[in-house]
Order: sequence, then structure tokens, then C-alpha cells
Amino acid sequence: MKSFNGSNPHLSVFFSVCRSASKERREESERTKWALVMLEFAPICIYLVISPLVSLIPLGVPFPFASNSSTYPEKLSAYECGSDPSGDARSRFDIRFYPVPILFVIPDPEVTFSFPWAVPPNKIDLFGPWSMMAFLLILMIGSLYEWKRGASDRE
Amino acid sequence: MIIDSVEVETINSFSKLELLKEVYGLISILPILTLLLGITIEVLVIVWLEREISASIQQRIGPEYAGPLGLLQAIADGTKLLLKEDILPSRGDISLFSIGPSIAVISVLLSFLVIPLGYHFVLADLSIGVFLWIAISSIAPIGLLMAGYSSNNKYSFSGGLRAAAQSISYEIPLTFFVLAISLLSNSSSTVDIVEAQSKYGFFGWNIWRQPIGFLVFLISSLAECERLPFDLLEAEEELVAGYQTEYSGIKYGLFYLVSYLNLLVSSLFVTVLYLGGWNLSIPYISFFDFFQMNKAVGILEMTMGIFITLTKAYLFLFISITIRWTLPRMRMDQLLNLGWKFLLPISLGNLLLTTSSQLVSL
Repeated sequence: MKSFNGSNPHLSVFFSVCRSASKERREESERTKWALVMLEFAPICIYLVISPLVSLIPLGVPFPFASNSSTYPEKLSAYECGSDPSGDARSRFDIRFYPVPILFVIPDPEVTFSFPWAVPPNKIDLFGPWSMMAFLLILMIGSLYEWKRGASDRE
Repeated sequence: MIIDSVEVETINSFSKLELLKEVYGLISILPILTLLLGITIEVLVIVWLEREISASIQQRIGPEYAGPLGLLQAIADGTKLLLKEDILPSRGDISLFSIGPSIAVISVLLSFLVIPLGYHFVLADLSIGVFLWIAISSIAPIGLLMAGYSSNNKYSFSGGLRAAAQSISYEIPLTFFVLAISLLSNSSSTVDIVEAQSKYGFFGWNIWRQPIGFLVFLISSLAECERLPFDLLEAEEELVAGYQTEYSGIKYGLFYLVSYLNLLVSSLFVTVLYLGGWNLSIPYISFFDFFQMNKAVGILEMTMGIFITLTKAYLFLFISITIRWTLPRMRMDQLLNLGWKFLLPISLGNLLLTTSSQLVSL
């Protein structure tokens, strides 16, 4: 409850009232939990509005100052060290870049699911770490197989 | 428990007003604008610092014409880029071309929300702070891919693919080491992680509990920022600048900004995760025994916190910049081998070691 440090005695009274008895009170406590989460994430939402503005507004600034490039159409063509661009840019790419994101897909959720496991200090006793070790072992076997088969080789 | 319903109604309505006032106070834009101003000033400082340090390493004089000691050099560069023409490639995808750098900038700017400069001095004290940074830093490769693809240039496309492959390859060891820190501190909140390092002063820093983690985090964050020795994308096809080739003007400036902002975020996270954040770290001496005043302690504490965090972060900036100008570049396959075949097993081994040490102490 860090976001309520130094906060309101009225708010704490409000919440303690909420925790008692009836069903409307339980719905209200659901709503207050929602309100808590929203308060915690509110700066992110504001920031998500402000930072696109910060990055997109400078894109409009050159318009009054810049020159027109329709006088020199070579400016707009693709750069190939001075010669004319040969062929279309999107015909082919090296196939060895294709497995890298695919091999990323597995460890990424592996580590994401490890985050809730890492946090609670004593509540998962001995069963917790060992079950996580089993999960990591299964995924490690997959990674070993992929290494031996050379899926991440040569690039 | 029987409560009079009228009493409850009055309490509810009164505290709803208070709640509204608190919400309105919390979402005021002023802290965010302060943060953006602080970030801008820091980027200017970092650009100047890089040019001065690189000049010293190469035994020449750095910027000296733009303002006293060349301090306004970054402003001069930024203004020049702002006034240049925005060239859009003729057969490229214009909307993706424009959005690519913006996505990279947004993802890096969002990471500043969870960096604590003091105990109550963090914009968004989430309980999943470091995880937010990890998740958002995974969005940046999308912007780079968009930039490379939409340029309609073979070299840009190849550079963009390599940039994305490099970024995602080094995310996984990075995340595993952050996970190990979370294990040690029993929390994913950045404020809790710094607090967990405050007990024994200098010896309580996480760098002593996770020395391998510190080194690998440094390497992985340099790779994430695409700085030397992992610089392949900017200087590979040496004349052609990778995914930034077709960019000019302020969009190129945005990529430049992303590079330095990413470096700053990584340095601040090294400070928070491994070096004890805002703590003064002289063992067994409480800072406030020196000062007897009670009223001004709050502001003093805040100022000292900011100063200490920035000092530690600038230490890492210095190390990163020095590494850039001394080490040679790695090849792409060496880079990916390092990420997948060396750092990933080390990160898993470290996680195993940390878990067993936590189990032993249980």
C-alpha cells in the first residue's frame, strides 16, 4: 500500500468500514481494490499520453523551415553508396534471423512466469522452489536440445 | 457489527470527496513534466560528457565553441537536426517510417517512471517496478524493425533485423539476473530493492551478493543499448548506418536520443539494483545523526538521495563511455553466441545458486 503513505485517516476509516459484513459492502471493497490498482497505475496512463506527444510533436517542427525535395527526386531514392538501387528491398532476407525470435518466444514467458515465484518470501515453503525447478528443468532440456541441434549456430 | 446506515452514508460521501481530491492531486502533470525536464537536461549532459571523454581518450580537444566549455553542444546539434528537411523514401511505407523512432522513444521514456531517486521520490511506485522496465524494453525492437523494414533499403532491412535479434537475445540473461535480484530482495518493486540494500551500508549492496550478476548485467545492458562493443548495427556496413540510413532531421535525432536515454536508464537501473540506490552507504553511521534539524530534513534527504543516485549512475556512464572508445567491435555471430550460449547458461546457474542460498536460509 505504498501509494497511501502519509495519507488520509478518512480513507482508512472508509476502508475499514468496507471490510465489514454485507454484500453491497463486498462489492464496494471490490471497487476500492480496483480504485487502488488504478491509482497505482495512473501515472503510467498519463505518461502514456504525454510521451507520444513528446516524440511526435518534434516531427512536425521542420515543416515551416525545410526545403522541398520534389526538385531533386534522387533525394528520395534508396541509398546504395551512390549507385542506383538494384532490385526490390524486400525480396529476401537471411533465413538465419528467423529462428532467433522463435527461440526467444520460449524463454521469455519462462522468465515472466518466474517473476511471481521469486517474490513471496516464506509462503511457498519448500514445495515452491522445487516445483519451479521442475519447470525450469523441462525448459532447460528443450534449450539443450536446441543447442545440440544447432538451431542457434553460425549466426 | 451493526453500523448505523446514516453514519455510513455520511462517512462514504465525505471520504469519496477526499478520494477525489487525492486522485486529482496524484494525477497532476507537474511531476511528469519535472521528470521530462530532468531527462532532457541529463541527455544534454551525457552527450557533452561523451564527447569530452572520447576526446580525452583520443588525446584531442572536445567541443569548445558552443557555449562555455562546449556545454551547449547538444542543444546546437538538436537545433540543427530540428531544422533539417524530413526526407521520406519514395517507395517506403510512410506511416511505419514515421512511427518507428517514436515507438522506440516512448518505450525508453516509460522506463523512467519506476526509477526511485529517494524513498517517496518515485513517479510510480508499482509493486512490479522492475518487471515493468523489462516488459517495456521489449517494445523497442518493434520500433527498430519498423524503421528497417519501411525504409525500402536492403541494408536498412538487414540492419533492422540484426538490431531486433541482438536486442531480444540479450533480454533473456538480463531478465534472469533481475529475477535473481528480486529473489534476494523478495520484491519486484524498485523502492523495496533499494531498501533491502540499506542495512549494512557499503557491504549491503547487491553487488557483493551477486557479483556475476553485476558483470553480466553490465554486458547485457550495453548490448541492449547497442553501444560498442555491440555496435554492429550502426557501423557495420560501415558507410551505411543500418536501420538509421534513410532517416534525416529530427527522426534521426530521435534515434540518437533513444540511444542516450537507454544508456541513462541502464545506468540508473545498475545503481538501483546493484549499488544501493539512494543510500549513503557508509556502514553503521546513520545519516541523520549529523543533522539535528527536523524541519529541513525532508528536503535535505531528498536532495542527498538524488545526488547520491546520480553520482553512482554517472560512474556507470563513465565506464560505458570509456568502454565504447577503447574496445573493438564484435561480429554478429560472436555477439549472438555470447548471448545465447554463454550468458543464458550462466544466468540459469546463477538463479539456481541464488535459490539454493534462499532455501538454506529458510
